[in-house]
Amino acid sequence: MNSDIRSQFPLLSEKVHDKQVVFLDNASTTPKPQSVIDAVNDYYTHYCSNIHRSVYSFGEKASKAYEDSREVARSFFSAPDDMTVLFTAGATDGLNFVARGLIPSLSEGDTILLSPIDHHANLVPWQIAAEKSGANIKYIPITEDSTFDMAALDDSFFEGVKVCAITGMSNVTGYLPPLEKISALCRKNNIIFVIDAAQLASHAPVDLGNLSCDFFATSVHKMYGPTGVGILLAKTSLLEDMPPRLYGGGMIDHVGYERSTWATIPERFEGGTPNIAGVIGTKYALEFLMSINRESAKKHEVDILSCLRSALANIDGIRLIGPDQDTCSVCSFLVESVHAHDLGTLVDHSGVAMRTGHHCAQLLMRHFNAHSTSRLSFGVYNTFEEVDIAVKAIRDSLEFLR
Amino acid sequence: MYSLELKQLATDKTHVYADEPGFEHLCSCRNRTCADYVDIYVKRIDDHTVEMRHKGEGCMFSKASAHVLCERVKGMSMNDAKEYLVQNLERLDNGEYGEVFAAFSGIPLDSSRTVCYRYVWAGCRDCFSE
Ligand SMILES: Cc1ncc(COP(=O)(O)O)c(C=O)c1O
Repeated sequence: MNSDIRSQFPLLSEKVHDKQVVFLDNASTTPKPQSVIDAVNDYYTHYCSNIHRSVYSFGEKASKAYEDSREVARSFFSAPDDMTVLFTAGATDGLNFVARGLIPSLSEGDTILLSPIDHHANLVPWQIAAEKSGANIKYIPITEDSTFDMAALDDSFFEGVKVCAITGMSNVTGYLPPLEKISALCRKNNIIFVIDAAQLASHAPVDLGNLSCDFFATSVHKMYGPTGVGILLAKTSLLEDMPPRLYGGGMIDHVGYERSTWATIPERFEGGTPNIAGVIGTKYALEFLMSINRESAKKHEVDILSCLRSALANIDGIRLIGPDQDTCSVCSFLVESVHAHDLGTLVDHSGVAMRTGHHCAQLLMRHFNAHSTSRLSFGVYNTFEEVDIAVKAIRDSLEFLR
Repeated sequence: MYSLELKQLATDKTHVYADEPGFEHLCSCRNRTCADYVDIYVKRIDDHTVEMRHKGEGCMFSKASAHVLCERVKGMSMNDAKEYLVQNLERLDNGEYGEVFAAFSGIPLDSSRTVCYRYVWAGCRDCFSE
C-alpha cells in the first residue's frame, strides 16, 4: 500500500512502549486521516453552532456541511432514490432503532431470521423485538468453520420469515456471507432484509443500487471517520410506518397542548442535537475512501490477511478460527493453553495493538468452543512488514507464556 | 506486568479444584468484561477453619489471583476469611498492593487489566456478604 495513504494517518506514527505502533485492531475502530481531524477541529474552532434552526452565518454553514455529508453518504453507497440516509450514533444505535421500529409490524408466529456469527448489536435488539412481538427467532445454520450452510438456504427455509437481519462481514472471522443470494431470497419471499454493515462498509465497495436491502447500518468510526456517528440507509416506505427514534426538538412538525405531529423524513428520525462535528467529519472519511481504489485496497487487505494466516498457522499450538475463503481483513486465533488477554498485553509491549476477548460475538465463541480469541484486523494502510512484526511479537510472547 | 513470580502463581495447581470430596460450590466469580470466570469451592474442616479451591477459565492474572486467595484464607474461619477479603480489597482500592497483591503490582491500578485479578476477590467478598 502506498506511503501516501499511511502519511495521512498521524496515529500510525505514534509510539507505544518506545516502539512504532502497529495498529491491527481496525475491526474495532480505525485511526482517522488528517482531513477528518481537521474537519472536526475546523467546525469547533471556526463555526461551532447548532444546525437546522439558526439563521446566522455559522448556523447556515454548519447546516450545509451536515447536509453535504448526507449527500456524500448517499452517493458513497449508491443508495437508490427510495432509500433515506439517516444519521445515527453508530451501527448499534441504527440496528436498535430498526428492530424497535419494526415491532409493530411483527406478530405472533412471524419469524426473525438471524445468524449465529452476528455481533451482539445485531442479535440482542432482535431478541427484544421477538419478546415484545411474540415472533420467533431462527438461526441460519453454519458449517464447522462458521460459513453459512448454503444447502440449507432455499425458499422453504425462508417460509414464515418476516425479517432477515444478518451481518455483511463477521467481525471475528472476516467471513463475507453471500449477501446477494440472501437478498434474492428475501426479495422473492417478501422479507424485510437488514444488513449490519459495520464491518463490511469499510472493507468492500458497496453498491446499494445492486445489492437490494431494506436497512443497511454502519458505524462511521470503523470507516476512518469520527466516533459516535452511524449512517443508516433505510427504505423510506418502511420508515413511514415506524415511530420516531427520539421525541423532542428538531423532529416535530407542530406541538400542541395534548398532541404533536412529526416532521417529514429524515428530520423525524433525527430528534435532538446530533453529533454535528462527527457528521461533518463523516464526509471527509467517505471522501478519503473514495480517493483510493477500493477494489485494490480490498485485494491488498485480502493478501496481507493470507500472509498473516500462513505465518500464524506455522506457530505451534495456534488454531486459526473461521474460513480461509470469502474472508477479508480479519483473523482470529486461539492458542493452546494461553489466554488471549495475556498474549494481547504482551504483544502490546512490542507496539502491536491486537484485540482480545469475545468480540461481542458470544454465539460464535460458543460455536468454536472458545471463550475468547486473539484478533488482528487490517485497514487500508497496513503493510506486510507490520504482519512480520506482529507475528514475531506473538512468537516472542508465547515463549514467555508457555 | 508479567513476571516469573506471577507466572508461577498462575500455573500453581495446588488449589485447583479436582472434584475432591467434601468441597461445596461457594460462588461463581465472573469477569463481565471478557466472560472469564472462576468457581470457588469451600470445605469446612471444622467450625473454625476452611479450605478453598478454584476452577475456571481465565488469564494468568485471574488464575494467579484465585491461587493467592485460596492460599491466603487457608485455615481461617469463614468470618475471618470474609473480613480478610474486605480489608485487602479496601487496601487495593486505596492504591496499596501490600504483600497480598505484590505479584500484581506491575499492573497499574487504572489499567483495564486490574479487573482481571480483582474480580475473583470481589466476587468472593460479595458472596460472603450475602
Ligand atoms: C459486525 C458489527 N456489528 C455491529 C457493531 C457495533 O458497532 P458500534 O459499536 O460502532 O455501534 C460492531 C462493532 O464492532 C461490529 O463489528
